[in-house]
Amino acid sequence: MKSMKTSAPVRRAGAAALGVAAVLALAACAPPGAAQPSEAPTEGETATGTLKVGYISPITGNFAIAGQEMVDGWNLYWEVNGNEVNGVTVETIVEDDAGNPETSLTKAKKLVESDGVDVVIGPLLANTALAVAAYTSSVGIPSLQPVAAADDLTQRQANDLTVRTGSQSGSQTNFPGGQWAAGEGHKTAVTLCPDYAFGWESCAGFKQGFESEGGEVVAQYWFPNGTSDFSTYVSQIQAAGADIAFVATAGGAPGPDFLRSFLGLGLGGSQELLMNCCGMDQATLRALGPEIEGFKSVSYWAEGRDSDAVREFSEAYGEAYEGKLPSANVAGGYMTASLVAAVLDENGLVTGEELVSAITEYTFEDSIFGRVSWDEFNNTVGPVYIREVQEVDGKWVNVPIETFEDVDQWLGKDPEEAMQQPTYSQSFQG
Amino acid sequence: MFEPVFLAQQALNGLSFGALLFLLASGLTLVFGLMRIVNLAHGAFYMLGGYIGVVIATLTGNLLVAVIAAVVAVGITALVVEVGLLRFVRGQELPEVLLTVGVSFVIADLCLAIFGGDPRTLPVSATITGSLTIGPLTYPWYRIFVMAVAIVIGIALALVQSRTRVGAIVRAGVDDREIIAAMGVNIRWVFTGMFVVGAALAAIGGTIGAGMISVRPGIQDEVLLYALVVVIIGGLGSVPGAAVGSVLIGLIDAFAKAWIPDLAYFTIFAPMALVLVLRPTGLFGKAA
Repeated sequence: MKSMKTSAPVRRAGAAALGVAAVLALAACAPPGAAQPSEAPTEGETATGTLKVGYISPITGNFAIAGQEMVDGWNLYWEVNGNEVNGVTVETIVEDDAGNPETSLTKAKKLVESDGVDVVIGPLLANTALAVAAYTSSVGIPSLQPVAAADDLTQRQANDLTVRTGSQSGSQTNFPGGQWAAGEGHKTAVTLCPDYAFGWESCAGFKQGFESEGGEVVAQYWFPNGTSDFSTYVSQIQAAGADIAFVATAGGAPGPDFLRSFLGLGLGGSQELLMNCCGMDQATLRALGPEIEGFKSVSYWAEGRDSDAVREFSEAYGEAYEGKLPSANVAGGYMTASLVAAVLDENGLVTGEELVSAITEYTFEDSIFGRVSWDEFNNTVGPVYIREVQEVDGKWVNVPIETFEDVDQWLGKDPEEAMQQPTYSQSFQG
Repeated sequence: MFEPVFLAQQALNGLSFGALLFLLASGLTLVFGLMRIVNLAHGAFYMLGGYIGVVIATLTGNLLVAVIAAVVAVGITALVVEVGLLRFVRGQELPEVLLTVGVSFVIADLCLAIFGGDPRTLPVSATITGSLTIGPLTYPWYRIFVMAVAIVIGIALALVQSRTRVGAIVRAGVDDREIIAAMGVNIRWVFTGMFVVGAALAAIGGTIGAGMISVRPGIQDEVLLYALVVVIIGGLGSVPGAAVGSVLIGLIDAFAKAWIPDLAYFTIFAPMALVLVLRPTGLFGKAA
């Protein structure tokens, strides 16, 4: 788990340096939206050929499950729809980075220099994504991010060629969760998040949302990566006695492990709880289904949403994977593929900055996430769902019960102000 | 943070986690003490036992059947590993240890291929639901049950070790395996038997533990690390040492997470370092 952490001072220094670089890059290119006078393809005449994609994901090591899901989502789209769109053939080379930033960088260089790819997609973890995005932008290759949630990827370290395509930033998704909790009449909250960047950002989002609506966060607890026995933290949540508890995990076992302790200590019926995307993901529902009926969470992905896009995706995934329902990681890969297909369909073969501007100027009306567009820092602006665990056709599903449309990454601030803040940490929560 | 109910609950959290650690560490310490093998496949045996236990518990809804199935399956696996592999490198320390690492990798990969990557926990039907309530204190019956199992197994192991002939042979083997072999005991089969018993204890821990922490890829290394810490603190080959080490680490872990969360890992390894410096054989270990 060590590879996911970056010590705060290093992060800050790096963020500052890259922030300056990003500002210079932005200044040099004028507003990124306007930068690209993409040649409007004339009627009936679009460029054809091959879009070569390098896809980096941790398919071995500690993050193998999440990494494999991210690849599965991407592949599934092309298997179902064919890998030819509007005369353009999409060719994918998958590389494994095992969650290690140095390996990610080596693989990215290999993909660009010897395979000659047009675009690099992935990797999964924040630090690997930041490393790859910095490299690809320096050589003029677009980088698409299907899952990575690091705020800085589209803030302090944003660049013209990096787009978050299949997720939202860590604080962005959880901000509406806080607003919702306060709107439900809860006055006090306690939070529990993992003790590294993703957790700090998730909790900061919730806290700011909750406090913007007049609530008060009375205690914040942090669990180290690798925690399996959560009973201590559950006792602390119980002792805090807040109206609602917000709990975030980065997916995998912590979700079920936390809930096992939460239910075991008898808080299931007495403590209001809101979880994040990944703590209440399909893996958790498959493990605990009936025990967590009615439990609520906040996410940009809701597999139980009533929409044709989601239905089509879920059915295809279920057919390929033993009737399972897709998790947020699968959805991120699939969303990225359907987005690439949509812009190729509209523009024919586009590469480099043209590909990026085709994406960021596009509004994806009926994506699996709902209506999604992109801000000037290339981050998604889209819906956030409050979801409830319900049984649908014998399976446990996160069904949206409330929707916040057009959520952006600025948490109600203006971009300048938001980026002048320190990066989120235990001690700075916005 | 210092209210009596909170303290009592944290103490129980620590004790129940310690109970799970004991199920894990007792097998490791026996194998370690008798065979002088750092069995790095012990975590994988826990994992395999956990998966099999969860699957059988889901099918039958009966925890006892699940535990028996896990013990049998893991016991057979351990027998094959000992007779089929370990015997060929007996007495060569490095190959022995590396072999157990290899076995761990193979078991973990097979588990991933067979059981998939989802975290698995015991189904409700096979656990004990509900909580004990004493005034303002509530505590889940299941975790109390885990403590009870650990106590029963601990007493049984201690009795076997101190009161039976098998126990005497094992104790003698821990102290001096050459002499015990010279006295006509077939030490080879004692080793095999102990290796299987150690693995069976891991399997019990894996199945029962799956009601507290989920079984998933990577769990084998996590639990192995905890078990090694407990065994080093308690002393090689000592069941009472494993018991004391488990309770100590469980309690330290629970209270450190509550009071000094930033040092939660340090507080587990610091006692180990301290014991190694002040008493290198562990609290209950005998000088080699």
